[in-house]
Amino acid sequence: MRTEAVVEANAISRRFGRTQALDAVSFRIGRGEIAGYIGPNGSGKTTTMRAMLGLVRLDAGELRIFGRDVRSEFAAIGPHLGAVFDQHALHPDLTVRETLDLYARLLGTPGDRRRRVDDVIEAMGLGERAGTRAKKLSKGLAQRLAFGRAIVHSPALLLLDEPFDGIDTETHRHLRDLLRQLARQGTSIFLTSHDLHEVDQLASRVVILDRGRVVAAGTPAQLKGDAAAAGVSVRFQEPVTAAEVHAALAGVAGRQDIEIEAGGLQATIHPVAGVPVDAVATRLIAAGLRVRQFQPLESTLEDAYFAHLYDVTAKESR
Amino acid sequence: MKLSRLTALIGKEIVEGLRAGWANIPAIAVLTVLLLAAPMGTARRSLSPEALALLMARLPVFLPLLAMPFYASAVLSRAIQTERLRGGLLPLLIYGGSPAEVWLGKVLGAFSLAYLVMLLSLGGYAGYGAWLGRDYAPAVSALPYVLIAMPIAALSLIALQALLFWVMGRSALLSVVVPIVVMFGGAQLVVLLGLRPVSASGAAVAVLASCAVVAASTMVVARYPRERAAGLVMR
Repeated sequence: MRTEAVVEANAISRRFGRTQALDAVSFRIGRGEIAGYIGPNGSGKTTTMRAMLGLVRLDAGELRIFGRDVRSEFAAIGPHLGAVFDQHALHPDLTVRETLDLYARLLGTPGDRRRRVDDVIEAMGLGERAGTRAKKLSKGLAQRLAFGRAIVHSPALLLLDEPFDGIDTETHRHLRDLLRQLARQGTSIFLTSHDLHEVDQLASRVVILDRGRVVAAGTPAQLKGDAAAAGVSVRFQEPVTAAEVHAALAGVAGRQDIEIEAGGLQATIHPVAGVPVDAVATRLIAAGLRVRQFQPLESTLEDAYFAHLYDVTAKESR
Repeated sequence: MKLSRLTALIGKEIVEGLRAGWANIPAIAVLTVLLLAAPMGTARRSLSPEALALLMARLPVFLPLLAMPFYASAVLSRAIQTERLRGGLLPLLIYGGSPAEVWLGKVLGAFSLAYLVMLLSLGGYAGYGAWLGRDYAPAVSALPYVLIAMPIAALSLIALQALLFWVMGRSALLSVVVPIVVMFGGAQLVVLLGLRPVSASGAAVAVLASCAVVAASTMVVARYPRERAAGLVMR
């Protein structure tokens, strides 16, 4: 079922000099949806986020948030957005409480402002640091404050640029739980990250971007299903030696991609990119090794990510 | 433009200015007194003792034109240039308010702190006069000029500096050059003006002109692209 669209990007394009930063990118984010936006450096993730913040003029296409055009109606959109940037972008000489109170005042927080600020301080686990200046916070605590600032006005759309970059495990977990809770409450979340495991856990929809183009989009399950299995687990009827398996799979899998386990009765094999896992079975049987069970490994979002990027590169090189 | 947002932004600038640059306040007040006292040395040979005494007595009227922009240049350099480098301008410009509100908040925040510096300088200059056995405190009739008209006139100089910092992007050189130009240019201006009697009509013209400069600068800022003001590097 398609939820109400909070963000709709239709064939948005932007070129900076010779670089095509965005090339007819389309996606949508529904209400209460966490959309993961992944891709290598320079793929256009940050440009997309900046376009959503009205900071990049588009050469072509249409970008609408809450049904309004971002460029011409940003004044009406801005107060309903929250953003966490790739740098904390805090005000170093303001305390935690002052920072949150400032943005609550600027954005006109509904209801009792002080209570809302207290609630956010509590929710972010910053109670003991409420009177500490931002410049004295550790990286993890500064990121919590940046998150707190982004949500103090209860925005309908949260834009996060690499929010988990370089933070401690505890903060990581805290923020992940917070994002899930916000999404349950109806906040839509746009998340760019290099942490594919995190995106896999959080996102209900994922867009893979490469050199400004969308190369794949769908739910994590769809993308993982689309990707060919990245490896296989093979069980043998009788013990085999590493040398026998290596010889059978020459050219299909390197020595470092083959793990012999259970005293030679089992092996985990990751064939080289572009080689289907079926080829592994064919080669093992042809070499006279007696295979009892052949189980393709479940692919991860990382497998899907690399499969799609590899696919694009392969098509272009033809 | 929303007044509640503007007052929040002014408050932020005052708090940050006091915390980050509290040491500048007495330092610049002292420097201003020294600059005002300089004509005693430089003009002694060219002016009669009577003219010199008159000049020294008139100078406090123009003190705001020297002290306020000079101090503001230090405050604005941090509030705009440094904040831009640290990324702090970005959230303000995205959802903190319109660019004009953010900019005006910085100008009026710097103005408020500069007013404090001006009062300290005034007290310092009067104290210097007392030490010399002369009355350098402004006359009661001159107080409206000193406390209202000249500070408003100084506001235009503060606004022009803020505009320069706003549109010049990431320029470290600017942070050094502007205060030097303001300091020496201001000292020259004060000495030049100090030789003429101040008039109500002149002060009124200065106030109106200053308001016009601030309004025009605000309009320029309102039209200036947010992404450039925030210091985003466009590839």
